[in-house]
Amino acid sequence: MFEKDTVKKLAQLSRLLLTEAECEDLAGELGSIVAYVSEIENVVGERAGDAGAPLSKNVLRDDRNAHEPGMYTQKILDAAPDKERGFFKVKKIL
Amino acid sequence: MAIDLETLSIKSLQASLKRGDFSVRELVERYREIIIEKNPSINAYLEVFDDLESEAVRVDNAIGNGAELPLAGAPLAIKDNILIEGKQVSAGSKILAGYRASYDATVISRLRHAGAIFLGRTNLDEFAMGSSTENSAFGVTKNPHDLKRVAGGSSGGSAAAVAMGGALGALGSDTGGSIRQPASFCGVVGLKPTYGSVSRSGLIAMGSSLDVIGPFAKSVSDVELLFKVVRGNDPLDSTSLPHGSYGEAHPAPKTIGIPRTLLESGSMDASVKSAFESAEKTFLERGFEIIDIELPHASHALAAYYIVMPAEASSNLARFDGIRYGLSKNGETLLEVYQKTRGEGFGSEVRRRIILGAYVLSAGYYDAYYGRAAALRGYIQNDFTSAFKKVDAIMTPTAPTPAFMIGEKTTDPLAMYLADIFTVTANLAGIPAISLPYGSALQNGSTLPVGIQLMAPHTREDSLFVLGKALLGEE
Repeated sequence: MFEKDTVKKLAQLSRLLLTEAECEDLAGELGSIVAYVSEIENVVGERAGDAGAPLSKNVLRDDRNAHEPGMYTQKILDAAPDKERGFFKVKKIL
Repeated sequence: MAIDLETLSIKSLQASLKRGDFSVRELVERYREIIIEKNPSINAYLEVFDDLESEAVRVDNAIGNGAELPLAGAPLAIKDNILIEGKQVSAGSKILAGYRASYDATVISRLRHAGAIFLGRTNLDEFAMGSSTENSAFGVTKNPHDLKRVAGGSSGGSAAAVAMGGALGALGSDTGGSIRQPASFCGVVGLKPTYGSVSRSGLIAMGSSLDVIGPFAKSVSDVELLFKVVRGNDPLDSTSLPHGSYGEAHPAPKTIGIPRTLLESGSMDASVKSAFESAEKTFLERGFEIIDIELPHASHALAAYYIVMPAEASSNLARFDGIRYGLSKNGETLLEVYQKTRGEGFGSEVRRRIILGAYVLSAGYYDAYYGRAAALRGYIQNDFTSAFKKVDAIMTPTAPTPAFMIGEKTTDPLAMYLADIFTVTANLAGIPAISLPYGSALQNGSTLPVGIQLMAPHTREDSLFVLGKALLGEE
């Protein structure tokens, strides 16, 4: 069972503006998807912690060999919808 | 001279160009004509590039100067979630409207150095989320074998481009079956390589622990040729396998395992079942041994996949916010800009997976869903490790059915997800898998292709190529 209010909350966290009707539909669809994926509860149960080393781990790039500052600035800004003096321009925050 | 495209392969093309039978320019012009003729009814390509002639001349000149290029003149179609510098890239979404790639994906620079020609970018389910291309913001790709049916997905455009004779090969990406399932539906060969063997740099991410780029072609030999060019360590992808991962030669595969219990749980169509049995017979006749095996946790792979993938996708898609590139909807506040851009820019399947991902990652549910799915993933990998002690490869159908009708599954997301039941396991385990066109299905008067899937241990694509050639009768 998936509540419409849960969808609304998740949509807000995900920065998605949805209509009431969309939230309604999603609640139904997600209800059946979550019911389906919940079968793993019976397979893994409380054993989740004892699967040994986790298969996935974060792999991060070494923080070295940085490129020269400004090298890609123009190229990246060219794609931006709104910019000013070498910066992305956004709505006032405070 | 007339070019016989029916029998042409990437491999035979090299000899033809050397003999001077025709030029790359003439070849590329023929492909352009075919695309112009066939694409309006199939919608495999979203764009045919306007620099084909100059690119062809560049390769012709290189050949004239004696350059040895493994893919000289090979006309390829590129899934539209792989970046080509200066070209538009949409990921099948409205949210990237107007965006042009600012750099080449690593696979693109590798292919270009090898002499390949990029014909255009191909249709896909939005952000590669789907099994039919019906989730593309730019219309469905139709199956060249029956225009009322889907080409499969998410790399449906790439598979259809090769199947309609509009490219000699193509690149797709595979997160849960997105290369193999459309290859199966369209009757071409499709390879999902080992995770990390092909750089993801320049691929628009969906599920970062699952995504891999791989090739489509008409034959196993051509797929092998493309794979050998695109694979290799890349410092721009931190999950890229180290140098030397493919160094040593291996003995040829002899044994094939069949997970019978798993196959029974997949509700296979009768036509798929009979194609599968006939593939089994062919392998036996050609001297391979068939052994029954068990993959005890594989029947739960799809459930684990639909937790891991949306979790990763919802995180990856957070970057599309209307500030740095693509669509931007105006709003009173910054929050409103985000919400409107994402609410209007993303299609319904993408929104569904973002919300699902946010749910399985949220406090209080993380352990119940993501934690368990990660553990299950470990069990599935152990299942494969045990199985590969007994057999060299594992065979299943690629998909439980042949290509389904357009619209047949669009109202039921879960039914659509089940199309991936046999393919997701390889992504969860990170192992390579190939789809081979074998047999056919007669459905409502249409003869449709069926795909057979073979899976092998990590970095053992060589086994898949040997077995694939044996099954399809390639030299």
